[in-house]
Amino acid sequence: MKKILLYLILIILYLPIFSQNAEIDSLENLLAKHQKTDTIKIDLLNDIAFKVRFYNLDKTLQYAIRADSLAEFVDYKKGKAKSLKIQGVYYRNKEDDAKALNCYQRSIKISQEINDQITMAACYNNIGNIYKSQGNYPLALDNYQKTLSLFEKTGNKYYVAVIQLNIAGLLEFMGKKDEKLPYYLKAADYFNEIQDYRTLITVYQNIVSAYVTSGNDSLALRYTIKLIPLCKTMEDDEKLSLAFINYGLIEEKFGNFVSAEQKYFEAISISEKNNFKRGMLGAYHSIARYYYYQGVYNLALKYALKANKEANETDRLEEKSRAAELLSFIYEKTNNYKEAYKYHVVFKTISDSIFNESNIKEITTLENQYKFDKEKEVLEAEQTKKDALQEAELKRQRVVRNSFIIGFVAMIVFALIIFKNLVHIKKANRTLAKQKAEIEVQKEEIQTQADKITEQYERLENLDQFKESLTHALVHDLKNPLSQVLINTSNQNVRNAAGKMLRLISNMLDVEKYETTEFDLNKEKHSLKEILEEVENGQETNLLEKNMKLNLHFDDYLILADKELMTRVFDNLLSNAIRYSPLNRNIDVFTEALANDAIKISMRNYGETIPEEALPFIFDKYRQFGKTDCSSHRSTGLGLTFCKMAVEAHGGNIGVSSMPEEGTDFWFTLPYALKNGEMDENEIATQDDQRTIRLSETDIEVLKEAVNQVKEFEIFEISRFHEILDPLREPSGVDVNDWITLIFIAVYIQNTDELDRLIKLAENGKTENTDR
Amino acid sequence: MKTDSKYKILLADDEPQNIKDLFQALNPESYRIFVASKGKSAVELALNQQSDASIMDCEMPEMEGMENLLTAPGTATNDYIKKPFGSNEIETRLQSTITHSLEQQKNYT
Repeated sequence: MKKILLYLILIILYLPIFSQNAEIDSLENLLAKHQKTDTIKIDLLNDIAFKVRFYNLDKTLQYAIRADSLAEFVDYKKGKAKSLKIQGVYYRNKEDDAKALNCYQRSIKISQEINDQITMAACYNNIGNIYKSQGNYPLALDNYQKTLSLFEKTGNKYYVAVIQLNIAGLLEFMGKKDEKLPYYLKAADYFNEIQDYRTLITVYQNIVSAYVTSGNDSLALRYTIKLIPLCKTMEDDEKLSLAFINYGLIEEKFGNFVSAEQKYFEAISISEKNNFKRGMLGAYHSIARYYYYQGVYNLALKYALKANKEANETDRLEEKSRAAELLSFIYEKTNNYKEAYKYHVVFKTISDSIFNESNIKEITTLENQYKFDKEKEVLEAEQTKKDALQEAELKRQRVVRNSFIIGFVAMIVFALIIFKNLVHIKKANRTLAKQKAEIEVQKEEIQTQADKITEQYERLENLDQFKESLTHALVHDLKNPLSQVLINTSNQNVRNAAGKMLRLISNMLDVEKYETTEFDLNKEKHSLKEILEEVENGQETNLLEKNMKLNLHFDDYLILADKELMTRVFDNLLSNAIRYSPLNRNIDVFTEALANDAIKISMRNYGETIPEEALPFIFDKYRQFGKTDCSSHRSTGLGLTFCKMAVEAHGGNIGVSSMPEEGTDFWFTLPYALKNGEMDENEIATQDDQRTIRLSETDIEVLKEAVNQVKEFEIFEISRFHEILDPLREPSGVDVNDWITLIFIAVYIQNTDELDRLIKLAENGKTENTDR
Repeated sequence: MKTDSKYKILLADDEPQNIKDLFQALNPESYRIFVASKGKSAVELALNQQSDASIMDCEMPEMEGMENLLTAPGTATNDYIKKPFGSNEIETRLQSTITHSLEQQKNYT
């Protein structure tokens, strides 16, 4: 058990602010002069109350209560907090910890409101002191730490350093020796900085003790070397003696025994010189222990007895027990067992009580710790619960707020959409109304126009009807005089023209008539040939003009027909054929026997073919093929229409076919025809021949001079032809006259080929067949 | 019988009968008479032979270019006679037309 017993020097720091009575007096004077109730007066009252506590505690309370009530009156919170703190100090000094705590806590509450950190920190510090004195170190530590953080905020280095020292002292009490060192070191820095060397000495001392305890001897030595000159400078011999004791301990541990002994003696001399009891006790004990370990028992006994005597003068059990223990060891070594036993008993008794005391202390501490932890836990749990509740509340509020915002926004958007739609609909309605109005106007216009058109149509129709009836009446009235002309004239030309006219008029009237009423047919048997010959005779002049004949290529038939109508059908067809035929080409009529005694009769001319696209319309009213301005083909266009109507009235069909090589066939059928037995073959043969002009030698002779002249003429110089040819007419024969007539026809229609042919005929006396 | 002293008359018609009738209506001693059966040749003839007057059927084949003739310098076909007409009437009309035309030509020159 070579355990080194260490002498630990612990200094509990209080902050005694020693004031002079004179200062308080002057303050009281100041207060007496200051009648006005204001913050300055309250501050003064508080100041006096705080400072007077060392002299007259009751006065402290009086002043503090005055300050309290005045502060309450003028609502001066800082003064109120301060006065409460001072009241706490009063109760603390009166050992009424409960009232003191109450005052401090009220003060803290007010200080928090006005953020008076210094008052608050002082209160926490004082509360810490109370708990510390009650042995409730955890709560004390908690309050000290609050104090520290507050002072750190204010930047008051002195207070920060002092509180750190307090915390370190508390940790010392709590036995947390490792944790205290950093606080001491920090405190040392602050005190050094603010040049509070007196306090710095204490701090250094504690640092040294801590290092020694933790076995960090070299650091302990370093601070000791710093400490000793500081103590000398500040002439703090008490601390110096203690420093030398620690110095000695360190040297001893390093094995520097001579130096250690020297240091102990320094400490003894300083302590004895100044009669520092603690220094003497420490120094005697240390040197006694030293001699004991060195085996110098007599010297050890001498100092141990001195230490024991000093120890017994104090009330510190530890010192007593330690001294007794040492004496017991020394007597044991010096074989004085009686004394050894006696001190052992003392040691034992004291150490037991110490043990008990420390046990109790420890138990209390532990209890307090437990309580503190539990309370803290409860507090934390409550705080957590509170936080959770708050969080939930916040969340709820957030949800409410968010949903409100969302709802609001949605409502606005919705409202906007509705508004927009409304505007849109309104606009659309306006446009629609406008368009409707426009449409109405247009409708009215259209109606008006339609009415006008109907009116005009009706007028036109009326006009047309009027015109038609007028035309009809006119045409009808023309018929009678024309018949008179036909009957009464002997002039062939007149007859021709009148016949043509009569045909046109008849066609017109009949077509019109039979469009609305049925033909009234007078059907009888008639010879086809007879009818055709009659028709040919009627158109003789026309045939002659074109130098053509009508050739009938069939045996005679008896047809059952209305003679007048049939005659007019053929008359129209022939007139048509002649009109479209070229000169000198005969017109042919063929028949074809069909089944059931029906017959097909075709009339063929060799004129221009009818365009295929015109064929379907050729029998339509007022239709005519060819160019409309072609006056040579001019007609009313009713001839063929009449034919169609008449043929169909007879139960037959009518049609046309037109081929470039074969000519144009107008044909129609009749349902009933009988072959007529009598036939004249010679007649047919004769008719088959080309019409010829035969000029005799005499004729040629007569014509010779004229022909030579005529050859030189331009074909259009008709007057010269007449000059030459007209005188030759009368005395000459028929053939010469015919020749001359043909010449004129050729000239009139400007037919150069025909003119050439006739001239050659007159020159040679020969006839040339026209192409067949 | 100097041909030069006679008026040149152009007869334009596609019906030979009409030509014949017209020719007989005019005094052959007074006129040189030309004939055209189609509108186109009528125009050519009228311009080439510088006829003094033309008697034309208004409905003839190939009437295109008739307007040219009507507006050609020196021609004044500005009288109309409807068929049928008497021989005296045509003679009288023709005379007056020719006279009028000649007067106009004098005025121009």
